[in-house]
Amino acid sequence: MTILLEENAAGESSSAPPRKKLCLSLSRRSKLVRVPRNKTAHVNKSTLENVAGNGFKDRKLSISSVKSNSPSDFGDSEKASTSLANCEEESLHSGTAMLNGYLPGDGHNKSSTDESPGSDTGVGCSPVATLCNLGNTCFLNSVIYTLRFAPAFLHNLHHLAADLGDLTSKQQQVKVKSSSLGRNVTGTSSGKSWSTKDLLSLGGSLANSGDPLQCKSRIQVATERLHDLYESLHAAEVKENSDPFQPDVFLHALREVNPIFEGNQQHDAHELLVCLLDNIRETCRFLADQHKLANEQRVVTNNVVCDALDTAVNIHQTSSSNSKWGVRRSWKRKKVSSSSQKNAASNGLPNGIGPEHPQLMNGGVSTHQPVTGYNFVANDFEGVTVLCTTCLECEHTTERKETFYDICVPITTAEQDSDEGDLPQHVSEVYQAAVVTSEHLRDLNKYWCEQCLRYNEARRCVRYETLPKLLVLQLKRFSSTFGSMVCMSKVNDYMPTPLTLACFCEQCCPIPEEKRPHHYELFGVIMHLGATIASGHYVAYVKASENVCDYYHCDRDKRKSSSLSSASSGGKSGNTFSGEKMGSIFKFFRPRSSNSSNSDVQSKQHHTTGNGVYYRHTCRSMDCCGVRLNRSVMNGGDSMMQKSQMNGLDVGVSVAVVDASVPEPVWLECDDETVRLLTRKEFEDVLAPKPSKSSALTPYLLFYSKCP
Amino acid sequence: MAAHKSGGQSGRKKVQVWKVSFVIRDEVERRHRAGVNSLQYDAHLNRLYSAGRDSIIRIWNCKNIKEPYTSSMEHHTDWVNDIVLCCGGRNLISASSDTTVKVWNAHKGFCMSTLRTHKDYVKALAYARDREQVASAGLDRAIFLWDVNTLTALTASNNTVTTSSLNGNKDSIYSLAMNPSGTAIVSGSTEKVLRVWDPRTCAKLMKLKGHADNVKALVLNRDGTQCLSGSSDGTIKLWSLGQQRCITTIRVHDEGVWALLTTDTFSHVISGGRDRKIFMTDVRIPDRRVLVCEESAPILKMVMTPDQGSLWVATSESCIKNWAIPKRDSQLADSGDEEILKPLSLKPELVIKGGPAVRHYHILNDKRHILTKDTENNVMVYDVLKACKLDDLGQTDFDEEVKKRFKMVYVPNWFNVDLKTGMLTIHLGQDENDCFSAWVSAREAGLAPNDMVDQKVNYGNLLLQALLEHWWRPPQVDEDTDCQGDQQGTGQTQGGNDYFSVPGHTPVIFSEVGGRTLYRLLVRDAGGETEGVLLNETVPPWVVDIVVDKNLPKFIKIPFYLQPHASSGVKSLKKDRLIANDFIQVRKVAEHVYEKVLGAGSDSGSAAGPSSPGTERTDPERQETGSVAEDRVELLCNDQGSSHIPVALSTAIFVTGKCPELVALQATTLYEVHIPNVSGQSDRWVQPSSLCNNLCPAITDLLL
Repeated sequence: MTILLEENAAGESSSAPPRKKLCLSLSRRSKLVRVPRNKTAHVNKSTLENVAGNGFKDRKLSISSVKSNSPSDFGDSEKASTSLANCEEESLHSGTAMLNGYLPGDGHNKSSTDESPGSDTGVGCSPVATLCNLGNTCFLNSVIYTLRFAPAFLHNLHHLAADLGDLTSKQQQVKVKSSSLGRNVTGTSSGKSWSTKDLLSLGGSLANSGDPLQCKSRIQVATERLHDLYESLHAAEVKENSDPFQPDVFLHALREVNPIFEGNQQHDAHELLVCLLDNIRETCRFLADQHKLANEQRVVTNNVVCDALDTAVNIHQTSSSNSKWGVRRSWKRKKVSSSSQKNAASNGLPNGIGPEHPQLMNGGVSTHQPVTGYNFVANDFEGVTVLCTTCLECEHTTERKETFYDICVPITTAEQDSDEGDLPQHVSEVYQAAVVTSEHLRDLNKYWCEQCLRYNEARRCVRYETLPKLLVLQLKRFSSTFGSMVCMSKVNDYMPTPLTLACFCEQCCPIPEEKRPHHYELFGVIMHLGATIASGHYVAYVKASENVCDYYHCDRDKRKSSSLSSASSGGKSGNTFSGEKMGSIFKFFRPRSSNSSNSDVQSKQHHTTGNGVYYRHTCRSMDCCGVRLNRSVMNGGDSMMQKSQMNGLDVGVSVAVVDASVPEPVWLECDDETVRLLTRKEFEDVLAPKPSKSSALTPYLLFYSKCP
Repeated sequence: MAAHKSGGQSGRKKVQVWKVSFVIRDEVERRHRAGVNSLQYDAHLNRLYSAGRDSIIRIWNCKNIKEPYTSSMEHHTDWVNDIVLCCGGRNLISASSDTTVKVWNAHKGFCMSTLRTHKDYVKALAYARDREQVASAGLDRAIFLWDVNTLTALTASNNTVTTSSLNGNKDSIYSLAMNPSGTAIVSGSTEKVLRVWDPRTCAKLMKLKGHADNVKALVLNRDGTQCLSGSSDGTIKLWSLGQQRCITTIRVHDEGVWALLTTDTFSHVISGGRDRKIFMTDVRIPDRRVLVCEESAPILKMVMTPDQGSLWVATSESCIKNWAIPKRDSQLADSGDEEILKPLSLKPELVIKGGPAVRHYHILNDKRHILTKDTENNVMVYDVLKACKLDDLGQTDFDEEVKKRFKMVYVPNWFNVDLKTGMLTIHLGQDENDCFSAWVSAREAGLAPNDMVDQKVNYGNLLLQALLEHWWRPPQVDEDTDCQGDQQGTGQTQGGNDYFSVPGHTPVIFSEVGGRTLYRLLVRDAGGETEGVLLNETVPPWVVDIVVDKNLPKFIKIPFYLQPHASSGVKSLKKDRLIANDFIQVRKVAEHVYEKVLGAGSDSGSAAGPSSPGTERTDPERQETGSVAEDRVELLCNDQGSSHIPVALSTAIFVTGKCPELVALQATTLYEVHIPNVSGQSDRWVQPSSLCNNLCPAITDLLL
């Protein structure tokens, strides 16, 4: 809620002066007030959908501005107080007591948070920013922790959020233009950050007028807020603020999407994971769809701009090196044409905008750049399973392919195995045997054979055509088989958790394990402690990594950075994605850049700008929501290995350095507010079979990433 | 055809009859209608026995190949999977997917007894000639050993037979073999291992591992020391039972091996399978082999003629072909690839022609006629109600024909169609397709002349009565005498219905829950004494209720609302929920509106009809209230006029895309008929649009 508060503050302060837009601000205000109420008691969902969407849009735009202010403690606390006042004012307007009760607490919390960096209470005790338990929310925390360390996840999420922000603002701009509300956008845009407020209110009116935006909003809000949450965690890490962060804003957004997470009960972490990934996937899909729509608009509204810029660019470039010209041109043309089909990106930004940096051309990475609506959930988490059914009479086989996001692994204990004596010797084989299965359809469960036109026996096999880059295994620990009670009983039997898992896709299965082209490495485990799904506790174990290499060769960022620099002629300025788009108009990036006053970041920036090549190779989203390990803690934990990580970080950039210099990963035990460092040995001890079966902390969700 | 019921061990118990089925077919089916699963050759009489998937075992005279058909042995109700000829050709034993094993008099072609010990499809039989012992095995994992002489001696009174069973199989058995002296029996199953027993002691001898898939064919040599197995993994393995290991693996087939045959000396193996090819291979030198022929369908069974010069081959198609085989070694090539590719013979020596199997069907909207297409693309029209074929349309476009015969009516489903035997089998049951769900007007169905008073008839009711027409009611039933008085003239125990009869050769099958066949008889045989007794035991109460007690099935009620159309301007009357039988003509609803709601004759402003869609006025001079009502009141269902079409309520719903939004409009007043939530407990009014969305699926479920 802290963010919402600030945003209110920002929005309020900025919107206060232009009172002429009375009706619009009023409508918005009432909505803002209603958002929290809805969260606690969700009545009248359909109308609130809009609201949530608006709130989210508002947040999206304002966050950067807030963040930009945050480094100065003074300014921040001031903000907090103003916002508190504003909120009270608002609550007066609305007369909602609940809001009143809600916000002050947050205000209080916020102020204490603000003080903490000075007091330095928590510095050095936690390797990463931590999350509060808001009351049985360890299921939430464990998943958030794990996803944070999932390779490429943060990076992709960042760009998704960025694209979403672009799209929203873009649509609003278009709307403003086309609806000719008379508010000359470019005219009033100077200096003042009226944009947040205005766009929001415009967005509201859009939503009310049946814009397609309105139906998607709740899911998008949740996605957005997940990104916000990571951003906040990053901010806390930058500030070395070790106070636990309260993920309540995200939790509320989540509850909006899926009411099953209402209430303070314990929930299934797997259910949450599925819900989260669904959200993100849907958001991606939405973006892709919107882009199609926007294309038509773009033809009308943007082509002119685009062309103009293009020609400008061309003129500019013809004057420079000619030799590479032909190449670049063809490349550009291709890109434009392809983007006009369905991809793209921030379609608002004409693709050809700005003079490209030579590195771009040299890099040659541009051909496979991800585009807007790039469905990274589908790309990273989605695998394909093949269900083969063979009639035993005619031996005709039918195949059905299905996509999956996680694999449910039945717990196979050693005793369960038959007398055949073919016990899986290797840990990986346990999983392969449990997952690549064959079933005999017979007796009363015969199979209707289309060839024989009758029921026959059949064999049904499950195979995996492709396994995702990020493989999630859910151990079937909860079964409702015995006991008619609602609570599901838990299977506490030991199931090994290999740090390296042999791949069991269709291609790999017949190959001996050592020769398989790829394998999986564990990067996270969510453990469950307790007897039932509704009770107990979740703890996440993750491999500590900043996943720096995810951020190299990011075209999405590059393009934007180039556009930014073209617009503001300042390479080091733009750290924010949200600003970059509106950069020329709203100039959000300016205050944001001051955020990097943090010595660490600054040094890095200087460093990187010094080596322009490196700089451009690292996506700056790393500094928005990326993981930033607390070096002092990490060093304290294990000096040798951390050094390399630190090196990697400080140099900041070279893939080679980082990759080569992580010999032994460290693990983090993320148990709500406490994050503890574990060596590999310690971690293996955690995973090892426990003598007492009943009370052990048992692995529940296993997260593997594909290597190579 | 006499049916001797022999109980085996399980005997006949009182079980709940699940469905009554019948087959629509010709009286004499001279050709196989589907694949042929097994063959036996009688060397003395030169007769070939073939076990058809059409449930019929046919006897062919191989001396008269022009007209080989001799007779049919019909008593199975599902695929006949295997047959063995025993007692020097006097008896035949058959195993079927109807879960029974039957013993036949092979010369006269009648069924002597039925063994019901298996719980699932019986897939394989094995025969030990020297001991006259037969083993049967199936998907229920059980193997039973039978003494043939005991089986053939069974009578209706002496109907118990002892059997020994071989246990230990963990999976469904697909193949079985016994050596002639009966010293070893081998089973092949989806377990992928061969299990060997000694049939004399029923002792487990060994387990042979090696195949990677189901084992579908087995042959034992004479002394039971060697075994050949054909597997779905495409290999043939030669096993030494003495050494308990695989000696040779023969890889000649591209796909599963389904049929094996050896020469007398066990020196050569002839194999066939899914790849349609028949190879003859030297068992000791597998490289020495020849491609005998290439069939047109996967090979299911081969038998050799007595001169060992040719093969009879059964495939999943209905033709049975005779192919010449090489005269031993001379023609076997030493793995020269070119020669292997070239089949020894391109044309079969002899062919016993098969008939086409029905592969596709479409039930027309009247739920009475069925269009079918067979393997030769012939399109036929069947009348389910009369259990007969109406028309043979030849090779025309099936889909086109379906479209052409589409009728704008709605009748609920009341039967299921089954094509597994290649013939049209109709199931009447009380499952999701209740056989009593179809009520129609007798006049519309063309069952009663138009001048008669229109009667509602129930298809399932009529059909069951016709199927059991000849069944004389059991004299020991007490109600008999009570009912006698009520029945006028039709003969006190005569069944049947007033409208039609079904062909007497139609087989009627009673099967129990789970699908096992309980009893099969022909319609015309139901009058026989034995059959009558068995019917009394078998016919389920819900059929007795209809056929004997002549009770009518219950009507199906549809609740609906009637409402003035929005354009009529008339204030909605009381929101009464109406209930009517689903076959009520919409016209009747119009009459109801006219008489009860409007009050007959109070229609003064009738001429000023607002442009109501679908209002076609036809002679307004009619006197009947019905026609007046039709003129004055128009019922709309989803904006389609329906009161002028003589359709039932259920049809009205169907016509309008199953949307229960019926709108009634009078000349000046429009009425809407709403059909509310099926369960009826929701009495709240809903907007038509939401009604469509919310209630349609439910209604559809009810009606379809």
